[in-house]
Amino acid sequence: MKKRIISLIALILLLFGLVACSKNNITQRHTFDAMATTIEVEIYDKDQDALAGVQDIFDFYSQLTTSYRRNEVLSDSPYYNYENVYTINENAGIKPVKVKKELIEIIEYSLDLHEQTDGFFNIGIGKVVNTWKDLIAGHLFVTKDKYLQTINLVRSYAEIDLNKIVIDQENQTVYLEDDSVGLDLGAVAKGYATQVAYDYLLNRGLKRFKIFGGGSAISVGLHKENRKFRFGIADDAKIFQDNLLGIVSMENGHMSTSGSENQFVPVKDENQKTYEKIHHIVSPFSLIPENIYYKVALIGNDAGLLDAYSTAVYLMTPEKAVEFLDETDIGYILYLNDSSIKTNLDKEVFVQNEKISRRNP
Amino acid sequence: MFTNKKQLKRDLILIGSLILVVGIIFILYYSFKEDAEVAIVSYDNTVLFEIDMENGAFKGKTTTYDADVMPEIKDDNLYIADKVFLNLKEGDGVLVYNDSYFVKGKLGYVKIHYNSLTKKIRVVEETSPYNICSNQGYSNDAPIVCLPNYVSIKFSKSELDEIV
Repeated sequence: MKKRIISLIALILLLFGLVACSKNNITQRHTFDAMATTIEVEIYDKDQDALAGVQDIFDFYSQLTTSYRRNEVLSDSPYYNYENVYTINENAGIKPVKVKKELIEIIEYSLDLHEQTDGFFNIGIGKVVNTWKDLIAGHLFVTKDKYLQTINLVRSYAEIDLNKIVIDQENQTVYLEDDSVGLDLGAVAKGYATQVAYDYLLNRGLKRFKIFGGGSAISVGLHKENRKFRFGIADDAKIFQDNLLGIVSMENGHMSTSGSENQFVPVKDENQKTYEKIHHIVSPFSLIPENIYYKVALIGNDAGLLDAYSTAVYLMTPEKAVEFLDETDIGYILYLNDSSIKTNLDKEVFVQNEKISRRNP
Repeated sequence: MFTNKKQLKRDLILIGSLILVVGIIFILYYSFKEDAEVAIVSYDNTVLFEIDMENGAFKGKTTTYDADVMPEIKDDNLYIADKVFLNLKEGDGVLVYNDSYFVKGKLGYVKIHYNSLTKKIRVVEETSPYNICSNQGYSNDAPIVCLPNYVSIKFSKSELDEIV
């Protein structure tokens, strides 16, 4: 009888254990703002300090890489007043700026990526990008005349010469020889920081987690439910079923997307018809926002590289993009403006949706 | 007498075991049961649209029409601002106004509503002999089946971790 009672108690305790386990799949979840977007981190393994560490990484790189303002962190942050891209740009043609070695590392990494992408990824294009951003800020649309004037304006700027970015390793300084080069790390910083955070979590022995960098930079380990992560690729043009191009399944890897369909300002002609779209992804060759794709999504092993490549590919012709990507081991989905899709992913990784019509009564 | 006592003991053990098994199943069911993330509205096994139960986001899987005012079902017809709307076909198309959705079933139009406060969904109006599904009220777990109209609402977990 005693044995039976003990067995019964053990069974009840086991059930309570099961209840406890089933209700606590997510160990930790944290959302915070950094790099002009919302970062969401989920960690499914137990580690009390890991989330704070991830936010610290994003705070650090936000402060170093911002070109918008002097400080991207609050005054109580240990990184407050760290010299950054903003101060480098402010001191163009004036004096070198002493910066953290991590900022020099990103700049050098970005210059290397410039070579790899045949110049399509360019961190010196900040002045041109800012001119376009100024044009569209606060506007519902832009007139065709203003659009053409802006093209003439940006093409009147001095040629962007990345040799004018002078890095002094010994003194740990960065100097821009003049303001024709506007340093802008916006196309690489978030992916770079995401990769640093990903490595940080792995180094802490964590295996199950997700870092969601505002949709454009995603890094994942293993899923809490012992399956692959499933990410819907948004179809902002609303041409495919469910407003999704399809579903990507992945684990232990990274995905980066570039697109402008949900954040552009139309250029309207005299008949109020949309003539062109202005956004923030500007070609370093034509100096205008290119509209070849609705979206580019890349999948691979290096979040920083994917972030930069997705911007570069977004500016390439489809033929050039495919040729460029086929020389790498990167998986790609190119969603062209004619609503066609080019991909090298098999159905194990990417299941594409069908197109669907949607019309008003 | 001895036999009866022994039999009684066995009966009690049997009843006790059954209660224990049922209790275990009950506890396990409610322990592992997870909230529905998506409501799937179908016509005769064809999915017409889905509603994200967390935020009410609509995902059309058929031709979708957007209305600027609340449509009304009157005399077996569907009206938008007093104009008859004829674009919905049986099992084809959905008319959307905010969190209200209209589809056409076997016997007539079906109005479905998502309540963003309670995060539940219900059939508000439909044409059928007993109006069982519209009388069922709001749900976020038990399926709502309008059998005479071939329209059903089932609940499921989302297929996706994120949309990028």
